[in-house]
Amino acid sequence: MTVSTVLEAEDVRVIVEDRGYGVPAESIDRIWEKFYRVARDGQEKDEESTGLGLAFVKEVVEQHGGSVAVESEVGRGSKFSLALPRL
Amino acid sequence: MKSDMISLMSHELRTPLTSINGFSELLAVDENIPEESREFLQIISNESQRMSRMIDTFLSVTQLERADKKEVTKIALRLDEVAREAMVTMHPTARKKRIRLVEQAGGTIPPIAADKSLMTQALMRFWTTPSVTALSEPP
Repeated sequence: MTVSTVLEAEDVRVIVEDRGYGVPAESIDRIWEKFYRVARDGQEKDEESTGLGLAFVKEVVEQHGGSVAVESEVGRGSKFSLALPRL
Repeated sequence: MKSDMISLMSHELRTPLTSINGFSELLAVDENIPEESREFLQIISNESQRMSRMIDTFLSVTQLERADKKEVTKIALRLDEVAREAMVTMHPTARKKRIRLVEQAGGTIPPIAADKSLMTQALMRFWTTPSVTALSEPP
């Protein structure tokens, strides 16, 4: 998993990228919801997860006038990012 | 639910959890406990720890939601620097989860206006939240 920081036109973006399982399409819109946990093709939902980590991230980022995003393809990996307005 | 009610409830829930976790760990080191029971104790301990984490994060989210934007102390921060510092702080976890920081060659990252502690916490959760990392194991 790699973490990088890039400069865009108006924002600074932190990107977390992996080549893992990916997030199923039916979960992708709900992944930032409180208590939502992703199930991997019929497997048990992640035991360690509290379902709150990403909700916290979204809340902090939005409170700073930024936004969060996720792109993912099952079997190929995911790209999570957060963008905050540059000064 | 009112947020002060949530804080109160969170604290009330935490106290018995501390006992459950503490005593299950104590029992787990008792040599007279049979192997199977030790496994059960491990489950009790893991789950009570998970519940504590859940309460902590839930409390942070709730506090954030009700916080006035003015309460957040924003200073000029460089996100790449915050990320680097956060990575040092969480080094053992970062290594275990094989998180690698990619440094941008050339091109300076301009600052943003943010609360340093909140932003650090957010980045750490962003990297370690199991819904991200569990999904990032190789298929």
